[in-house]
Amino acid sequence: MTSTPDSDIDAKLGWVQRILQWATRESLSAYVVEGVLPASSTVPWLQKALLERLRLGLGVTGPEQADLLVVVGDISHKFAPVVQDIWARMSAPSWVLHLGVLPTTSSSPVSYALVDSLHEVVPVTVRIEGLPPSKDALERGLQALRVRMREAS
Amino acid sequence: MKSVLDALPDVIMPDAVREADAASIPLVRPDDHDLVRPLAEEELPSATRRGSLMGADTAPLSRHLVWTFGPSHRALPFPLQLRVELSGERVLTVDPEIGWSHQGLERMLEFGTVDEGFGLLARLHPTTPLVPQLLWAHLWETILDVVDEVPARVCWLRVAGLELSRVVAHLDVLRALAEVYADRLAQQIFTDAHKACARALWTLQGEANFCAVGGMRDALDDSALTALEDELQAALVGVGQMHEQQLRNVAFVDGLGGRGVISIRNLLDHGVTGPALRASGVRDDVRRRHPIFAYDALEPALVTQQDSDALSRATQRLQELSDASRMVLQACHEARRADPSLGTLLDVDDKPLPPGRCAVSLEAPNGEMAFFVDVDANGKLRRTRLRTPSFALAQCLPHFLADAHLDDVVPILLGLGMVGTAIDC
Amino acid sequence: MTDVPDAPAPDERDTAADAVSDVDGVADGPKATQNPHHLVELLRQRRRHLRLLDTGVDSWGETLCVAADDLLHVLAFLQADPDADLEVLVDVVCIDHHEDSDEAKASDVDDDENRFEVVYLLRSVRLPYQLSVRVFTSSEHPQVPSVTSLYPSADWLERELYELFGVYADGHPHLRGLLLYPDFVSHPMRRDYPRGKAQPMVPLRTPQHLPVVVTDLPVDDTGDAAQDAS
Repeated sequence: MTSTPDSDIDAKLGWVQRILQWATRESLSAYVVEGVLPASSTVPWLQKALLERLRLGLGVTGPEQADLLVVVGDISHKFAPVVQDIWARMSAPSWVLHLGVLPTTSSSPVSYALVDSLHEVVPVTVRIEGLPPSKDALERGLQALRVRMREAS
Repeated sequence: MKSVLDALPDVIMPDAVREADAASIPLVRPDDHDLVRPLAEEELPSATRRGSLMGADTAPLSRHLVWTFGPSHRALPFPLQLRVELSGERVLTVDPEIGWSHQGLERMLEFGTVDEGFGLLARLHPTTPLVPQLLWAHLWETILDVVDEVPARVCWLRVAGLELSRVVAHLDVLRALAEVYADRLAQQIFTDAHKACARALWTLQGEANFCAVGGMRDALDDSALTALEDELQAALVGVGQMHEQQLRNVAFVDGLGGRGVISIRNLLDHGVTGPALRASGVRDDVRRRHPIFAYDALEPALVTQQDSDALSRATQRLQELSDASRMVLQACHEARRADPSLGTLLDVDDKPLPPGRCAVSLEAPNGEMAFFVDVDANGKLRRTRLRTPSFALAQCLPHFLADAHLDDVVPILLGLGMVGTAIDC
Repeated sequence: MTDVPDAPAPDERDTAADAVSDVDGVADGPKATQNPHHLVELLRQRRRHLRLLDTGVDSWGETLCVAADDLLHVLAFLQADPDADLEVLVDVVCIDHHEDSDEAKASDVDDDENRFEVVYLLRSVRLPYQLSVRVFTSSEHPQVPSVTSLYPSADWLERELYELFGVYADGHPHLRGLLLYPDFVSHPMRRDYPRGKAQPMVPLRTPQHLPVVVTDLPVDDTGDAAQDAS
């Protein structure tokens, strides 16, 4: 019997909502870049609509007004200079949150087209692994991000 | 002779048969300069050319504004670069550039096993992973010649999953269109229906129910299937009412009617299939051509439209959506009646694969998706090729967007329903 | 790309719809036969001078192997002939038959005559026929004639072919890369391209401050504190 109880689904899929709420509470404006979503059986297609709303603006019309750059998924090498350009347009202080990456293990296939580690392209502040990230991991990641933001300012 | 070509007026078709018999075309090798910079850039004003202005030849400046739209833009659903040549507010030409979401999936599939392939194919269509995963399972079942041994219940549930994915995909496109035209009622209805149907699909597909060759991992029992049917029916009540209202919605009809008109010749030339082709009147459906799973028992209705503009494509998706939901309900009903056997799951990676090649296709929400696999004599997977319908749609973009108004570029693009990761695969 | 698609005028559009309403994806009528070798026999009857190196039937439909010089003749005939009517080019697939085993490397055989095999998957909309046409090309001069004059969908497909495998399509209007960036060297789908080789487009920065990495995996307390403290 595979039907998951509703509360479990909401917990699994509420991560985008959680980030939205957190960013609003922190009075942050965020610019979201959606890369290639990695392979996972629990795919956040329910959150696609929410991701689009994120993309259309969490108080931003462009990266110039954003404090936080949220990168979801993997980035291809061709897209890396675009992400760098977006990050360069963000005025200081700025932070980068990298979401939804699977932990790199030795058995995971390596691709010639994807950037292995986003931290070599833009300075990532917090990287949360797992897609969707578990509630606990998301909480710890956002807490760490808040700590880093307080340190910087 | 009746053929689609006869229907098109004023089309001068070259007699390729006669011309091919003539002396062959002289072989011209492209030079390095052509390979580095695309042709469109040579017509850009020299100020925007990359590099310095020193030594730039005094080529005539382009009379029209060339505007680069993308690759990362708030209005675009995925990274895509469009170099749009404008005359005032009218689009003259569009030069799309893709590759920003290229992941090298085909190479990754070569190095992985068949089971890892299921996980990798979820990257192809993150919103509807079931479509490529089912085709992958069908591909290996065809290679191993066990297609007839897949039990009926599994076939019916696969059809249910595929059609439910189609419902979800069409609802996504219609929701995006309603959002563009600020139709709050339609947007609300489509968003709620999309969420509910996606939730139902989640219940059906579970963690990795369909990611198996020869059967399913864990099928729902009858009560869960009944609950799924009820959920689906409740979700689509509003959409049924929407179906009638949509055509009377002035904003929608004025906004999409007559925009993005394309000829059948252009669609066929670029290999476009699916709702975009059927909206132009061509009766072509892979589900009827090559019925796999349980499609031969379940006749999909062949719906077509008359015009081939963006409004007819949206109407086509709406009608296909209601037909697909009808098929999901029927498939669940048949699955409950069928023998509750889940089939024997085959571990394809256990032994060397049988050498040979295989190509299968199915009707994805956007058109025909085809997988091609070549296994060499040693039993090693040599080549996997994924042909997605979004690639053909992206290649045909200049024809969809030719002579369009600038405000219509995004709605036409959204109405095509392309998946970014599938274009660049 | 400057041609505007001909939108049919209202009266012509009706005739277009009438004409295509008789066109059915599912075959019926005397023109479609159940003969599984229909297309090959058609070629043998009506184009005797074309040499077919190999014929057969597989999961896609009929399959045909021709020399690269005859490719355009075969495709032009099959596209124009009303009993075949293969008007949609579904895909162009390239298979690299290079052996990367140790024996092949030891023998140092580099100039393979039939290293690249290019398969063209075709189908008809009106009739229920599907065909795959294969051509072989060598490792030294990997080129095939371009079919863009017959099938415009080959434009991007051959660009992808060139970019990922290095097989030139002679006669292509403008062969350039499609998915990768101009600084990318060599062809990544070839068998002898190393697996993990990346060619980053931007110079990778050496990280000064490492990011906080939060994983889902169960870690012990010391590991947890070490992660969150960095």
